[in-house]
Amino acid sequence: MTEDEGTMGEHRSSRPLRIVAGASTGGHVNELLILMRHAPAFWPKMPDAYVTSLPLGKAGFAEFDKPIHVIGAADRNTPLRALLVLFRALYVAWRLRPDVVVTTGALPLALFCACARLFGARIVWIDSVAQISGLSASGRWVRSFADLFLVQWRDNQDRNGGVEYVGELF
Amino acid sequence: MIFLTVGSAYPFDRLIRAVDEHVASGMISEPVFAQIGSGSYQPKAIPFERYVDKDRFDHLVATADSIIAHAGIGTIATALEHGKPMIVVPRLPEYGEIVSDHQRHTARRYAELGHVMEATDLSALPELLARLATFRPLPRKANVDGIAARIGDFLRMLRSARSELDQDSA
Repeated sequence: MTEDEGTMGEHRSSRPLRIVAGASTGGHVNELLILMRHAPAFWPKMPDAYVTSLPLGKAGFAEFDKPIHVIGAADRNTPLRALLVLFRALYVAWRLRPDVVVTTGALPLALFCACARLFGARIVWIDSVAQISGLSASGRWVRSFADLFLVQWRDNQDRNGGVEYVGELF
Repeated sequence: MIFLTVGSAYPFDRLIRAVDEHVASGMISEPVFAQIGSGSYQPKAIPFERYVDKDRFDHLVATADSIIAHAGIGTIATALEHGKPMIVVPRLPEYGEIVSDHQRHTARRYAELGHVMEATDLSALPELLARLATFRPLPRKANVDGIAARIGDFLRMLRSARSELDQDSA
């Protein structure tokens, strides 16, 4: 299950992958939590830290006993707040230097992905199950630099465009 | 008890006011408990709290007979987990309640799939509630393991790509 902690992983790599998982407070957190509860059986290791938008969202991640970083809430109608979120995201991304970010959105986490990307992170974006008719606005942007992009409705997949459907979180 | 909830992120005064007025006029006779978020309209006929944490939210859903809510995925997910009959009211961009049409799409799709009842006309809520009494929500089938496995494969691929890099530079 956690091969990175075994001797094989240590031989092959200088250090284990640093994974950060994140989601905006609310439905996005719920979707990520559903994923995280299934992840131990499938992932080489669990995330080292979590990122969310509001302090209210921290409670959901408490069960994993890892640092939880709050970067603030914003949407595309609140550009000034988005700018503030961008600065916080940049700071947290710089401190954590993740190898991989796994997120279910939305805008604050898209900003975090962009910042983490600057420091070399790979991006796994799961567009919310709430996105029924096409990709989210944040998703359309993140798609331009994401390394794995998943959607939760078959109609939204676009294999040529690198948008995969493998199932739904809910 | 009817649990009325609008999520933590934005106000939804239009819905809170409509239910409050239906209760005040006696059109809704069941007791209602409301979670109203940051709305400026304060209910007069029903008890309310602004925010509830995740545990209390789960408890309120579990003990409610039915639920009236915004078309938020997290709320729909929790209601379906508990098999509760639910009326969803989409937040609409034309009222400044949300930035896009996605709750409209969510409400319609989940109603089409038989998971919830959708209300578009708030004056018809009492009639819809009467129909909700015999509505049995269809459970939703997800494929969380499929998504967790796909991301797990991606993480392992990253790890082996990096250990090759380490070997090359050694």
